[in-house]
Amino acid sequence: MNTALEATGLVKRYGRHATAALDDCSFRLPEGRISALVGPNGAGKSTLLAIAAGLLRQTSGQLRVLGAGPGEARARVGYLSQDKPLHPQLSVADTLRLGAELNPDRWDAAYAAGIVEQGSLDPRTKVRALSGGQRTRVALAIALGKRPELMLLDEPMADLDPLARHELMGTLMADAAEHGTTVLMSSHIVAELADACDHLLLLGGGRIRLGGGIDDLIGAHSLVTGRGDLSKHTVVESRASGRGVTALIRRDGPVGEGWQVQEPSLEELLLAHLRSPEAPALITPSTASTADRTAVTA
Amino acid sequence: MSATAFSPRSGLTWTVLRLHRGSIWLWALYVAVTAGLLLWAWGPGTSGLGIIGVCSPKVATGCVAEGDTAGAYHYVLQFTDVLVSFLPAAAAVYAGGTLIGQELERGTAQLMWTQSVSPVRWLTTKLVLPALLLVAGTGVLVLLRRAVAAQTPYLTDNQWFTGSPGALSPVVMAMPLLGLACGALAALLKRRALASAGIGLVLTVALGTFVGLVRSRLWPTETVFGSVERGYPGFVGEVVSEGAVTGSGAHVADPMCGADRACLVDHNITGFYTEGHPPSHFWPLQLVETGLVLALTAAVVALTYRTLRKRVAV
Repeated sequence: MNTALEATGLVKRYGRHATAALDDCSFRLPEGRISALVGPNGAGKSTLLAIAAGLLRQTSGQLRVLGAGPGEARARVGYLSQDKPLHPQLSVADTLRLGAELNPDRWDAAYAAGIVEQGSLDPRTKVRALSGGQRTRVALAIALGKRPELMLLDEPMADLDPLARHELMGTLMADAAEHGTTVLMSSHIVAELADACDHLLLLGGGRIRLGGGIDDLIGAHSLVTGRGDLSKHTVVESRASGRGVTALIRRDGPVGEGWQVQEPSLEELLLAHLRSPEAPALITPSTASTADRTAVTA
Repeated sequence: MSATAFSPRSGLTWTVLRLHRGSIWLWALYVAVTAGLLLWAWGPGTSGLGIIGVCSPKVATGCVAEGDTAGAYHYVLQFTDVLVSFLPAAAAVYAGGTLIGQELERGTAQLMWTQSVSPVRWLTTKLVLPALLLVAGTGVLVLLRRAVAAQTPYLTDNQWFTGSPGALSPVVMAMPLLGLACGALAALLKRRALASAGIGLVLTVALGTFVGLVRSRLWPTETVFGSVERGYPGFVGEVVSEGAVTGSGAHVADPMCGADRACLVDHNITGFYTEGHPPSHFWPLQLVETGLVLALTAAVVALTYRTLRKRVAV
């Protein structure tokens, strides 16, 4: 399977003595996945996405984007951040023309215009007169009009009302499904991610704590309630409940007698890992970087 | 890259021209108004002058202008000399500092970089287009100003060493390039529209002042001597230094003895000297000064690209 994004020992430090935003971060994102990028504030999500988009230079380590260096694949990568910068003095039509002029080999004018029309926007309106949702729609049209193979989204919907967010996520996901676009999106809204994504990258302390297909990751964990010995499993989080404990464990073999076993929800899995940053990382083989897989084999 | 990549009707060139349409119109307006004033001085302004005295290259102030338009002619040239000498460089600092700094502040630079445009290509376009417009506009004004001066070349207003040297010289065509580079460097360092313009202006003025300080040393000077009896020798041109000469031939500060012979003997003064640039030094001086400004510009541009490369993947 081809690789959309692969990080090897990626480090980004802002200033010489600052703590690293990304600290020896390694992972691989296969092509065609719709991956959530989750982590506490300051975990390095925006930094990772900005490096991948060619907007920031890493301090050390390597990041391959669609098989090229970051910045070498600009034409094939779409990027949308929360601030969604657009030129306020341009009309919507001129903004779309800008997309066409700056992506001469890839621009799909009809498709971009279609996204704008769905929001019933007048093309003559100046960008400065648009509402937040309308601006996001125009920014999305610019990002999708170039027909990216990899779409990087840094909480672009965070400031929108639920209705606009639902509508624009719909547009985005329909596009990804139709064209097989790889998507990496950061968000704090777990419900939104659970609906849209089939893959997960959990960042903590500048590294990947959890990485893989969401079904695989959920399948590797159990939510158990009861009493007894859990020492042969990896306990991510446990807390007292009634006369026993409730624990989220990474199973190693069958869970013994006396435990009530449940499959955790994505939200339970994420919260347990966010609350327990010291839990060991789990990266499924398809998501481990080539270097790491070689190390495991050896 | 095909020729259409540079066409003003498409691509990044179209985008940059479209984004800064307002600023480009303002610049065109400035060039048009200043050119209009200079055309007036060249035509009706000059024909209304009555020249009194003998205009000669051997005498610095041999003739003066009288006549109907003399007053207006003098003020128009003083005004346009300031406009031509300083405004293009200030406009260039704005184009480099504010227009680039604003895009980095708003994040619209990042919008361009996430299209199929590399940051280096973006910066190059943001530098080359204003550079062309600034040099072309300033060049037209300098040519017009020289045409005005060529009509009555030995009037005080029209001699480089008595009037304003800047407006007659290619240095004012190079200064906008230095201003643009300083503005752009400040923009990449500060990433703020206003702060970048301020820092860019300070940097441009500092480098411009440095060039001004060394400019008279950029070409060998000529020195003329006068005896103790006759005092200072006459010198037509730009005076760099003057003073007294001692018995050993050393150049010293004038002890200000006046007619006091004993005082002169006391200080061992055997004559006086004036050192400077005659009118014929105009082109060598101006060309070397232009070269110096361009060299400084190249250094600042190199620093600007280095700053960009350190920050983003190019």
